[in-house]
Amino acid sequence: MRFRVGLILLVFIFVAGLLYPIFATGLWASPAEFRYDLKPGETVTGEVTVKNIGDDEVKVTVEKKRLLMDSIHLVYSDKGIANWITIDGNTTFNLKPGESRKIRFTVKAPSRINYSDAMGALVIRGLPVTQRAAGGMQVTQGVELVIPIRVGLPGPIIESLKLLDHKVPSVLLSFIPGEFVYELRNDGTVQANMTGMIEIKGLTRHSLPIDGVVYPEDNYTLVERWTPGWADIGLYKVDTRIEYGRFQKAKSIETTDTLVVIPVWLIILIIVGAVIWILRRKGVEPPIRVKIEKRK
Amino acid sequence: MILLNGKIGGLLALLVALTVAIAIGTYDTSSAATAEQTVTVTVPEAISIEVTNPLDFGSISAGSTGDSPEYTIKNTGNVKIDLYAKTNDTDFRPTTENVTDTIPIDGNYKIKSNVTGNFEQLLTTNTKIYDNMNKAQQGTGTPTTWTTLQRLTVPSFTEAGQYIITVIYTAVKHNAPAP
Repeated sequence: MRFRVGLILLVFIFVAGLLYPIFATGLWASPAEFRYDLKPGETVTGEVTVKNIGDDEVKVTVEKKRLLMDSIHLVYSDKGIANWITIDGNTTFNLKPGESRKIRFTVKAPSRINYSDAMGALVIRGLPVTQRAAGGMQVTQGVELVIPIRVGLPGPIIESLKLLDHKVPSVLLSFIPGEFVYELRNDGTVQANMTGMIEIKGLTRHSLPIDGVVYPEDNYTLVERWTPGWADIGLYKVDTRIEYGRFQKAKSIETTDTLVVIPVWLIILIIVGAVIWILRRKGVEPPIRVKIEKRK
Repeated sequence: MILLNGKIGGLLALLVALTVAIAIGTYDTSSAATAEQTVTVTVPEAISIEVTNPLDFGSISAGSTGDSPEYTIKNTGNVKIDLYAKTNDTDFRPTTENVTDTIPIDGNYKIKSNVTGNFEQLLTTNTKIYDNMNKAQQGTGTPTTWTTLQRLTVPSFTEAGQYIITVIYTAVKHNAPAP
């Protein structure tokens, strides 16, 4: 009996697979990033292998970009390090499933530079060559791999991270998330590796860890989210400490804010209390009356 | 006789010394057989993702909202990644002849995000949809898979027809520490 059920299930899966085949688009690239220490005017070459791991032939496009990345954004720019990178050979080609190709590139550091750390990238995009027939509203799905090229150059080490603005919610309701947003800018010459903590202290205590990297001349939006639970109530002190530096995190940015957490159960209790109070004042008879009597 | 005995004694002492020397030599040779060898191997980092394609919303009536079927995005590399999504266009474009309407993505086209847990607006610029997606466990042969879906609102009185758009998923190695 069990054998029959298993056999029927296998046949069903096979037929379903034939009727509703699932295809995938996929790319693989190695290495996942490059790190170079260059002198002004120095040149270095690198190589990335890209492979089509999907079911369809893909059109691959390779671009060189400057990378602007923070906790929510990933933005490409054609300025700065994007102009130091040269891609050898074709930047557009097709790859059949299982096929791979090597992409060679050169990074030439300028002889005169105004910052020491820079982050560029090779952006490798793969889109299906043929559209599979489908119904009404169709979405073609493609993939893109970002291979960062981090370049460090000798020069004055100036570590400077500025807090341009920050927003902490003043009131939060339980079970509704609040966003803690910090706008930062690296005014220095080297990358600022930052770690830190947002401490939310009141009747209860919570910690939100911070981590990220800000490159020179980049703005960085740090967004952390916190959702109060049923036990969180009252006034809270929000202490934020961001420690940063190129190697040692010797410098810090600190802020202190206050936040009020109002629990939903308290709002419901107040509303119920207010309704009962109004009804009693107006002399309205309650629709249900419970009377407890002793058994005779 | 005593002199002969002394010579034999000296000869014996010389033989003993030679035996000891040969023994030490043999010992040294045997110690070379147990010499250590350092073997190193470098496993390169690879970044890789795979997504179901195509995605079909099926039929959505003008003036109503529909969800796509659930689909998966896989981290098929050996590094942790941040995942972003964007469209290649501001509108769904018609593929049906003589249809001129488009469906603007602004306010109408969303994706379920792992970052917020809610449906987030899809734009032509990257929106983070997964922060720190883990790599597969070593040796499992099964990539880390995330299941998500999209939501589309078709404006009222949109012309009947087939409309298409392209969504691109971007992977970048998660917050690598400084060199």
